[in-house]
Amino acid sequence: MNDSGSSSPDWLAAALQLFDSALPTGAYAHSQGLEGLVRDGWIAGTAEVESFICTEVAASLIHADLPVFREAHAVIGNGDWTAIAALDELAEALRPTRELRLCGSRTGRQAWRLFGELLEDEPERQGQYSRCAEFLSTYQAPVVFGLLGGILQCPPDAAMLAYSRQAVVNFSQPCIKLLNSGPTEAQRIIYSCSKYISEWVRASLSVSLADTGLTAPRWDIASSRHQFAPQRLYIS
Amino acid sequence: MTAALSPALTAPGITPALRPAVAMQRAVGIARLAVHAPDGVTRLVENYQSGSAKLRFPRTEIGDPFTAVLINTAGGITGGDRFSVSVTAGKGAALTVTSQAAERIYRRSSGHAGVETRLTVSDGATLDWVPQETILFDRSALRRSLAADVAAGGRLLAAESIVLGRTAMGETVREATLTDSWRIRRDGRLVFADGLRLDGDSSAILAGGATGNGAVALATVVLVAPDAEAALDAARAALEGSASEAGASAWNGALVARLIARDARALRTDLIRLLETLRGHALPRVWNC
Repeated sequence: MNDSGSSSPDWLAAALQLFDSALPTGAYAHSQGLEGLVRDGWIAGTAEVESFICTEVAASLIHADLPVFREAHAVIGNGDWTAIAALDELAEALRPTRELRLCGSRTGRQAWRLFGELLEDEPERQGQYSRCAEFLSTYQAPVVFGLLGGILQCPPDAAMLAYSRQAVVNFSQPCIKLLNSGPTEAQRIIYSCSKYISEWVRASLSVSLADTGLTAPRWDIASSRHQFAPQRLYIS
Repeated sequence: MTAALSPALTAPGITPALRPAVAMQRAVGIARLAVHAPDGVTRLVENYQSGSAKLRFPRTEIGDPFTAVLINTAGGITGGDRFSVSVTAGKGAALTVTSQAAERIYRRSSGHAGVETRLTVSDGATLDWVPQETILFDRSALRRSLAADVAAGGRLLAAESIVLGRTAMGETVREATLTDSWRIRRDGRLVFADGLRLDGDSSAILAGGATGNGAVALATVVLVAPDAEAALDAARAALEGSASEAGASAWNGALVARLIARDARALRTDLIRLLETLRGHALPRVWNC
């Protein structure tokens, strides 16, 4: 999937900012179920984290997040603004626990608000932003980041790759606290898993919205239990 | 299930590739059930049965909801079979739909089995969709979908469980294909979208630490109701001490519970306890046969 209009450096700088793990969306406060998996003893070391990212997280990207992201990104080009409401609904419905829904909604909402301010002085992009805002309700992250990627004119394949890498980072960084691993080990996981991101993006291209959905029972169970854990380092 | 071949087709020199294609007869079943309660008593409105899909209506205990039992007279499902079930609970009606026994998805010779379920729950109505387990045999292939529309004031309790092989018989499912898609809407809004996917070595797929960790039985329970969140504490209490690994979560009129186990019997026991807690009634008698 190559976009011949991707030669401008402008989109690259904006994309690096949008998908930066340091973007202040509050994502650092969420482990997205990883803390529960560690607490329950189902993930006990960094090798298992890497395996989790390359299997369950990858499957979640391929069969849930990336198809929604892709269609949200496409709205900016095709102007089908009303499709955003259904995408937002689907993105939330695909999250099977309260905590995962809240995580997706909070980080998405923060990112949306932030870029609303950053785009204030760009009339065309602000116009697209305002149009999208009419149809957003839950602000789930895959929809928000897909829309923003489109508004910032990041080519869809690059945007999907960057979003996937963001997910890898978001699941790797909590290892430092949860498993007492050093930052170098977290970077090793990111580097190792990132080699497969292109495959995940390619696999997601054949998944239609009607076929989206993933069941990872233990992940869901861990996330469900986390809500009632007596001590928590992360919100989710 | 395999048709006997005539001697001519099994003569020396007649390899399988030379045999003419034999069109196998496949099972098809359609069941449509609708109830309403114009005077506060649930009554049958539509009872359509076709092919291998049958419905029976056992007597129930006083106070228990109107109950329908689905029967597949084909004795199981295999590649090429098609089943469709549609259930409607009209305004104020209370209905339980279950199955006579576990559904068996047998090894296929070709194609996949297809099962579609459509549930509609009106305002003030209660529908408990609680079929017994679906057992996948080695080399089976099933595509299943469940679509539900629940009115804002309606109540749907839906549960499906999958078992890989018959553990008591020591069976192992090495290869299976399963696509199990759920779409549940409440007051027109999509509130739950799920997709269980197995393709290939199911044991390897479910071996993942965050997937199933070697589980052979999985169950998903969804409650969509105005008071679904209020049921969370009771659901968690019912799951406390389960032999299965289980968890429940609730938000905005929906409660979702997952159970997984390495033993199908243990999962069934835990599932029954959870369902009876959420129903407020015992499960239909067929669950105890």
